[in-house]
Amino acid sequence: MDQPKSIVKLLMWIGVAVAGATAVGGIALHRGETINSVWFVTAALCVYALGYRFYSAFIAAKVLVLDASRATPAERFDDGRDYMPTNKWVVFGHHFAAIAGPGPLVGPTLAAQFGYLPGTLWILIGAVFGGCVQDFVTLFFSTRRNGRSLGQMARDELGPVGGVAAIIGVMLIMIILIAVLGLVVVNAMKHSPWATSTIAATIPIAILVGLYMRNLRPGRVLEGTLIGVTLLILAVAGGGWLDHQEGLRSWFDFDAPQLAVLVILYGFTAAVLPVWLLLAPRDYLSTFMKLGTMALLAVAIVILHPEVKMPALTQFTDGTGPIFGGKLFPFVFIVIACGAISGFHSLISSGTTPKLLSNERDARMIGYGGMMLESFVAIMAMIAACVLDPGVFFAINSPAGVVGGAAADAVATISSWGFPVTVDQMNQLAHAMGEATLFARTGGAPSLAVGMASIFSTAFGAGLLAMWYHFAIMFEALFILTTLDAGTRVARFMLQDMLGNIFPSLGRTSWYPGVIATSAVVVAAWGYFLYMGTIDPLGGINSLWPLFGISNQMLAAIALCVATTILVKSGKARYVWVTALPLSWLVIMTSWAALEKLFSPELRVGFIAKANALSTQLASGALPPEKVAVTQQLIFNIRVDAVLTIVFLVTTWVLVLDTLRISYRVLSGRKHPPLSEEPHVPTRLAQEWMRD
Amino acid sequence: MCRRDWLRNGCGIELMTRRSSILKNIWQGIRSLTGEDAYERYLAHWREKHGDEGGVPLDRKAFFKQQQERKWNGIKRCC
Repeated sequence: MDQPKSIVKLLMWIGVAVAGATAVGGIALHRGETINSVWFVTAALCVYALGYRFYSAFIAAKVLVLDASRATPAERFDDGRDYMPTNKWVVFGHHFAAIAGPGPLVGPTLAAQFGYLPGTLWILIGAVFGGCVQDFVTLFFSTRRNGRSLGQMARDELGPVGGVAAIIGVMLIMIILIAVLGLVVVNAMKHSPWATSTIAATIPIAILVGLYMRNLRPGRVLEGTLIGVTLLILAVAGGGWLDHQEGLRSWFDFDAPQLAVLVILYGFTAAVLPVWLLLAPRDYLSTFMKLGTMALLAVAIVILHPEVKMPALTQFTDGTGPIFGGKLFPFVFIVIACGAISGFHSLISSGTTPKLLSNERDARMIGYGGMMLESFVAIMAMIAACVLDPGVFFAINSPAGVVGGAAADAVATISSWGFPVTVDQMNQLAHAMGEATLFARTGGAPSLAVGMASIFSTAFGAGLLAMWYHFAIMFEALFILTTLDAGTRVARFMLQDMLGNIFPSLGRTSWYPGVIATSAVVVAAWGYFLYMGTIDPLGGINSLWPLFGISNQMLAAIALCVATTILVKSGKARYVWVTALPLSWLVIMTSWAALEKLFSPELRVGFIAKANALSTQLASGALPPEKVAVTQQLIFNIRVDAVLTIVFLVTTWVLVLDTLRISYRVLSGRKHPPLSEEPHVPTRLAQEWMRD
Repeated sequence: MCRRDWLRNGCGIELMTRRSSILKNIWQGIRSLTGEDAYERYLAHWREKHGDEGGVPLDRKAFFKQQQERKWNGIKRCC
């Protein structure tokens, strides 16, 4: 490279570094009333640019040693369908659409109770050194192993114990994930005929699109999606009309437990229906909506750069927060979940995406870059939550069990924390959003929708607040329902797979009674947690979201364990810190959080303390008779949560110890499972890489 | 290069065709991102790899059906 060009480049990167440091320093040290969101966007973009340009390049060149001359599984097994060399931008699109779910929208919104700073820092640092690395190395290792899944890689590299632990981890995370996402939707729909009717309308719309794409115009995905999206927007408007019809609105006015039952029935029906009828068309719609809305949000935030009103840190870093209990350390690392590092991604990065890579070198952009974009979505969710008045944010997200059921009590409690809010203000806001009330809508979706609605209505037409709010709710519900349906199916396949070893007929995915029975088991499992979440006076999200965070981070630990083992085995022990450092951090933070959830004496944190306190209450006979049955159920539920936490903890530590054992055997030259990498086959595809 | 003086030398036409080929590329990108062209890609693959084995490729409807069943047979969506 010629001298002047490289100097310009150097100066440019120094500029990026200075801008990034200024922006990060700015948001960290700022202590004024408000801070402009432009700082957040700048900090994020600079951190990602540096991380991608330098850290991912280092990993690609030194640690993984990507080899552009090697034929990928897509080239070797090209079958025109699963395995298919594909343009890297197209793979990037598929990969991002698969990994980006509701997690990065919900997690940061909940973590905003600590203030904007801890969550923002962890989203940036966690992504660059943790999440992006995990996705990248998993994608790469799976590509070198014919696109094998994480569970298979764990079995190959670590042995049967690792394999079983990984599969148990995946099954359990799926159950908790679906339950908690169901709860988010239920909290958005309770006593809201507008939201409920709009979300209900998405089902026939999806079926209509499914029939269109199957029978009228087979495979015309774009046409079907366009028709569906138009109908969805009409459904949002129609919901607003329905909300004003006295006779009709009562048909869609449910409380949380009723909605939970409806979601459970829906989940079961969706899981046993053929995919083309409901799941596939809704997935097209939700992917389209998801990408479109996120892009819209990014544009709106950049154009408007709204002021962030949340303080950098709130007093709730001490663990007394209303949305979930627990101190800043370790809970911010649990609650953010998908925006910084998500174990679930390792299931997409292994298995699906590697079968499409036309060149190994694309793994950097798709794995590392894809997660960077997801992390940016989390930053946007953080901004959208923090542009609300903090008082309003807490009023929407605090469960009635913490701040009081009556509006006057709730605003009094929240104002006493130093976040002034009035009943009038909340009523006006609810009215503007076309809702009866916005109190106690814990879960992130409603507060995010309020934030998005206020941003959108300023950017793209004021006066449409209520439409934007319900559009945002519909868009989140749409892809939460897709995750719910797809997740139920995956869990069912895994269950069928496991049971198939004992009862061969259950293993056949085409045997209908088997499909019904295993679907029912899976739906009952998440349905149980969902229903319990709705009768819990603290709102369910309180205990379920941390549990989901723990399970997701533990799955990430499993993926990093596999990656670490592979690095050690392939003679890269020198660079093992690339995966071992994020692994250690995750294991420490997550184990700490799990132990707190188990043994903390604080009633809102510790499961065991809470169960004991409730039992004492029950035994003393102080409870009114109508609460006795519910309390008994709650105690049982809390104990189930405790057992699950123990299972997560044990699974992870089994994997970590197994990793240490294998690494020790490798390094000391003892016998160990061999590296399962496929041999080098030279690529014969057009040497596109020669050009860049 | 046609950047400068494009009005002369028939460069305008070249620029226009270049622009329309960019649009075409974008359209093709959207089609393959959404899976709209999946059947065409399958046909191309089939003709290249299995064309001389006799037999006929799947029709559009059958292919689409099979494709969806396969697609949702594993983990495709995340949190």
